[in-house]
Amino acid sequence: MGTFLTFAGKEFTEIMRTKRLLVLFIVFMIFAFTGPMLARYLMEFIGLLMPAEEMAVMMDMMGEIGGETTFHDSYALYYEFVTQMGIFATMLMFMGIVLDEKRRGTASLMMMKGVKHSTFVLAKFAVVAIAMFVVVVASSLVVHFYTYILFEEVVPFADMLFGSLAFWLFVLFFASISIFFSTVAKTIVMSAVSSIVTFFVFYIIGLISGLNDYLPSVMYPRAVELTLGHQSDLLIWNILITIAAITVLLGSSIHILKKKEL
Amino acid sequence: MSQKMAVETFGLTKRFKTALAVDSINLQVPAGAICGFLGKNGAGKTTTIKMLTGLKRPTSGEFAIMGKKEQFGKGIGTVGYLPDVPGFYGYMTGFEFLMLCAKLAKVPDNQQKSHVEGLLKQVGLFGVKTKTSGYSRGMRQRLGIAQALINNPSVVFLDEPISALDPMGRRDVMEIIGELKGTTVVFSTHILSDVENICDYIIIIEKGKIMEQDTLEGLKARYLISDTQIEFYNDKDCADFITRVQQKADMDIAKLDPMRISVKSQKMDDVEISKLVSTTIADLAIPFKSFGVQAPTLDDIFYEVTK
Repeated sequence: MGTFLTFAGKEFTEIMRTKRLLVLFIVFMIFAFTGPMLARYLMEFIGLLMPAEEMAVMMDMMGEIGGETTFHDSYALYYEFVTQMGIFATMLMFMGIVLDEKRRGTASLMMMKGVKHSTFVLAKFAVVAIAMFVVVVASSLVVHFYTYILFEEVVPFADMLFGSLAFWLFVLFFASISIFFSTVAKTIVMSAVSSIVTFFVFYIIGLISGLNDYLPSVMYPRAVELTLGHQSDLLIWNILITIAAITVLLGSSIHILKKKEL
Repeated sequence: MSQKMAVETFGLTKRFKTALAVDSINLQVPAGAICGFLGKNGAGKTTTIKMLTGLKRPTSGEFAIMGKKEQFGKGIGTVGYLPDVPGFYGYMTGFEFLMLCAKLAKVPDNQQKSHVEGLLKQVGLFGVKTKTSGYSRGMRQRLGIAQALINNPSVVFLDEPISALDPMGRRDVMEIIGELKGTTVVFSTHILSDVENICDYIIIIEKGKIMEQDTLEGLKARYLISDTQIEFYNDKDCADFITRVQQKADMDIAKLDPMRISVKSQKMDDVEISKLVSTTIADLAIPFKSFGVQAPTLDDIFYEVTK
């Protein structure tokens, strides 16, 4: 445990000093503010840009399809933004997490000091998990309180929290994909391309109704549902499948790293 | 009583896809030796060292460190290692990096700071506050040596620790290595003059095969042939001397220029050659400008072994 904590401490110092955590924090915070703001002022923004007659037509259409935006849209828009750009930023920040150490030669120095392959991978994942927990929960809190300021209505606090935990699991799945490709790839470009392609594959599969219900990527819609007070019958299965997928990805990373010559 | 070996290999082999990098080597490094591991670029030095540190998987064969068989992928606690291009965490200072290494290497908590400071003093980096990303090559090599020593290893492998350094940096690093007496040091290089100054044991590898391994004295005794050089005042004296001396003994005589020759013999030592040369000059009653025995160097052995 001592080696694990020491190496995890190194990882934490690394994401702090290389500003990776700060960048992710800023990216998520930008969406935490823009989500509720767009939900509240979208119509006003469009009104400023559109002639009055066209705006009236649009308002009629909005009325037909469900009316004005509500505080629910505030959360939905936030999740829509962070699901794409937030995950993308997370994968970019961590795509070299193992590969950089192999290329720089620090991986071999750490192994020579008694860091096991499993410790090497799991300590990195643990720090990513804690960092992303802070980022996701903090940005969800900002969404929640900013929504209250703008709409004077919010979802129950517990729903917001469960939703953000579900989304955290979704982020961890993609972070573990980054760790996996960072272990497998020989170059940073290979790692980046593989991670991004995988992200889009899951995104496209997510558009196919039915199939997505049994993939880890379903945790994004589940997060939105939980936040808005709905719960799918498949939620427990989705959580278990996502945890299993993360476990398989990390296990494979450790196995591959053990076989690799440094 | 047989000498204890710090490093031993038994048919250690490494084959890459199309090339045999290390070919069934059986090397032995005595405990406490400072061993120069010599070879041309691509001879197999780095691959061998990486196998001996458990970082590369041997295709076949085994190796032992301090008498214990070791394996690929298992941490070898008794070993320190400096890679050919040492990498550090650029956002850390040298002190922070060594403290991390000390914690991972399980140096007792109450000794970590003093141990790290001691090592920084030893390599001349004590008090340097710069982040390692701002280190020069020489500073990186010195920090690399310090991290290799953090766990008080029985054997230290240093891969090309001086090759990329300027003369001052080279001298500093060689001094540090020279001060490691008591610890077995294996360091690879192709700068032979430096090796000769501090090494007491030499291994020469060529095309993946161990060509020689012995003490420096042992190698010199076996390989070095005295090179006696004489310079005359004119061509005729030089030619007369060659004719006469070849009548007396079977010698290799090479003309270095029209009035200067080199005399070597497989069968005679320095003293015998000197006697023969001086009596021949006396017989002929010819004057000479200079007469001397060239000091043999490790370069000569290396060229002889790898030619």
